[in-house]
Amino acid sequence: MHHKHRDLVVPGEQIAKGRFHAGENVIRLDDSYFSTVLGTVEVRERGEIAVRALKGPYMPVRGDRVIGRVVDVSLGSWTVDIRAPYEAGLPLSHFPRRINPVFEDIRNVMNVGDFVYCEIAEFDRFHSPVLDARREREYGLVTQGMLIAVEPKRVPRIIGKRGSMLQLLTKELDSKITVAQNGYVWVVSKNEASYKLAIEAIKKIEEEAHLQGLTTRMEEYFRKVTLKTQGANQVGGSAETGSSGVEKLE
Amino acid sequence: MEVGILKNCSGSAYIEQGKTKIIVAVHGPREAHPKHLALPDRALLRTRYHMAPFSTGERKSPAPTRREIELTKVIREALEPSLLLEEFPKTTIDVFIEVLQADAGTRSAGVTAASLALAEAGIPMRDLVAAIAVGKIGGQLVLDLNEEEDEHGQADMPVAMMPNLNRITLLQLNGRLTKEEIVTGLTLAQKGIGKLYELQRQALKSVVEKNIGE
Repeated sequence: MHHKHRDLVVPGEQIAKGRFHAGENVIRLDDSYFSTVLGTVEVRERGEIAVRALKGPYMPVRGDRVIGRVVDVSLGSWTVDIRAPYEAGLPLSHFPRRINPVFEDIRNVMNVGDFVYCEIAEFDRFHSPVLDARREREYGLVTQGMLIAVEPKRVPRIIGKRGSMLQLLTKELDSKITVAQNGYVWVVSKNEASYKLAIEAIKKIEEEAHLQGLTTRMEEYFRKVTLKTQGANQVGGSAETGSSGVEKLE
Repeated sequence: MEVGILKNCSGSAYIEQGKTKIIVAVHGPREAHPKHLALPDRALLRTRYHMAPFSTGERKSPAPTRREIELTKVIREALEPSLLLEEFPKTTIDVFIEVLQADAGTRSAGVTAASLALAEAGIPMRDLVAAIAVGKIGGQLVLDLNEEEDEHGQADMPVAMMPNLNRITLLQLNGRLTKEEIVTGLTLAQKGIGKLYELQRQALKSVVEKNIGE
């Protein structure tokens, strides 16, 4: 082994030599294993080595829950940007409510610029992704709260091991948080302050996605934040966060 | 070398090699437009090598010249073997190479920076590509020429390599070199590329590590 678990590697860097299983983002040449992306080494069971990419395009997978932006409306479907290399289609028949385009203008249901929460129903190398918004009750138009855009490859860290990070966020921010696999975090909260905190916290997780012990560190972070707000009676406007990648909805 | 300097693209890089300064932006993989260009089994790699009007001593017309069109092709072919384009069928990956200041060796610096930007964009590749030119001045083989050396030298041989795989992806020669000179020139280039690769690695890693600072 040339690299340990969690080591940072660049494309073309040799990770190991010998007999292993080449996992995600790893290629084998003879008995040498190379990384194909910038990311961290993952040593898994049964000699499998993989690299977890730090950045990269979102590749749709059937069953993924995603949030997309409507970019076009046609007679029988919506075209949705799901931040993937491919444009996705949401057919009228896959919308939670039955719509008859003869009697109803479907632009009144969902128009260009609207966000929709749904899942990938179909996708392979021959067809563009097809979405479905019928399976779950939460699926459909995103009408309230805030969307925070993050790197899709870092989504697993926002969810955490068996949802630990998501649980922590939900508790500390006192809001309903939905994480879409394509890198949107949907926050719905009653108080304005937790939106600000949500942006900061999620950006922090995104930035430190490659580091270990992130959940513990976030616990520490929230402890500090609550201490500060209690002690100083909230210093006015201290949380200056850039608006990049943040979408506030009515 | 620096990566992640532009926000509106998937990946970007900036390189300064001597007085040569180049900025590279990568877009995609994204849906191919016009659609008929899309390849059914892999991504289409499109490059654009362009010199800014102010990059040279005398103003250069911003329209792409014959030379720029050739370099666009040459750079694309130097990068293509490194990328795993099969992972994104029917899409395109666009690479824009903008020379801000030219002092010879722009194609090699362009390749080095473009590969870096592609890596930052998270596009899977077999290896990074780094490039450098070997030249001959007064009978002496030298590495990484500048404008003056290029103009008065006897030969200029740009080489691009994938350093870990030890494969050459670009080899051109302008001028005359003997067989032996080419061989020694290549080993010289290999050395230089090794150094460039080390810098590329640092640039990629620093973008991640700078976040840990606080």
